[in-house]
Amino acid sequence: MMPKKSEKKQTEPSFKHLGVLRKALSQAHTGEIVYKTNGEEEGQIHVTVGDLINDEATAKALKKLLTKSIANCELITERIEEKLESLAPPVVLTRVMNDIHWEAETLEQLKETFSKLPPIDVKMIPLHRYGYSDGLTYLMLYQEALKDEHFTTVKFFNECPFYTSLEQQIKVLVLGYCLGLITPHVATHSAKKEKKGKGKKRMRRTNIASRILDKIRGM
Amino acid sequence: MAKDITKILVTGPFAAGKTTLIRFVSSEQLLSKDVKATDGLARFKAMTTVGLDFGILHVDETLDVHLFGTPGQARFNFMWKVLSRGALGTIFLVDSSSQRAIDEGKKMYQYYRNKADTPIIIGATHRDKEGARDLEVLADGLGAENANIIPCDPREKEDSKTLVLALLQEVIESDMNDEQEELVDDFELM
Repeated sequence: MMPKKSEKKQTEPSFKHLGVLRKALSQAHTGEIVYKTNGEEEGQIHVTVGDLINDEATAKALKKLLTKSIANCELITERIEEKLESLAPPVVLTRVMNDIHWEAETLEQLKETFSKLPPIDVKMIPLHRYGYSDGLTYLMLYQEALKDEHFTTVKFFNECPFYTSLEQQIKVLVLGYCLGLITPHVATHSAKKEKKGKGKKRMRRTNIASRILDKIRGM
Repeated sequence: MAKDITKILVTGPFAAGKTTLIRFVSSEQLLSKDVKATDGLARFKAMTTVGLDFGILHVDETLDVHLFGTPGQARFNFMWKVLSRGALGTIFLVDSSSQRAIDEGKKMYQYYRNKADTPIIIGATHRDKEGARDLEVLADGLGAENANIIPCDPREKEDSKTLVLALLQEVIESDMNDEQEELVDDFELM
């Protein structure tokens, strides 16, 4: 018998809490991430201008958020800083990510979830400088995305070398997603669209860079 | 129809792979003045570039990229300023296995960081050599703690391409921060 819609919804894992974390960190929010696991455990993580407190309590709460099945999660904001540049070094998240292990079933669920993302762009930051132990897998993700204008997470899963495990791949995707380093692909030529009042010189430079990018990808 | 011409600078201390990178990325290489190394560098490298490397990448009918490679020795530093003017960005190559190159590279990197208001990508070369530094150690050595460093072998065409692609993405990202900020909200995991 087919499960009723409401029953099915309950059993399907949701990773929307990663979106909440992403929003808090990448948009430099100040406030509390409050969540409840499906086992009725509660947790909260304080965020200050997109930064997390580097202490054991925060690391523990973050680890629980990333590894448990989450029933609901929300961000209660106090304020949003105006500039994205205030993105704080991701030391707590990278430290926690080093120690995380997911069950095979959760890994598959995460893989399925990330596979639904549209084509992505990947920004480079030197994660090894923030204590992340597997900067090479992130570098691999970054380089593959550079070479392919229509790079998707599905390609990343399919084309990774044999020595890279699914967990390594998922970890860099979760890290990149939560830190706002993975963004929806912006068609390079749409970058040419000039916004009113924005510098023509800057847009011309973007246009030129986009054209060279396309040329080199095809070489 | 007049062609647009833009410039990418390839720089870094001696024997880092600048000439090789320009050769791989250019549609035509017009100039590479290599001479026998006569000073203390002769121990490290038989031929070295004086003057400059120059290659052209034909992008399309209306756009060419001029790739300029600076000579790596400090005594040619008067050319760095001239060549960096108006560049789209800079690829900075450094032999990550040589302390001498890293020390030399630190001065050059700081110069470009302070003088050029354009993106810089660092390529860490000679990764296959004994004593190649970790990227973190290299970043410290260059005084480039927040820079993007990409391990690469310019003798591999794909690696050379990757460095140029990385630089171009930096250029685009630096121009598009506003648009990216707006897009973050719409990127939900379903």
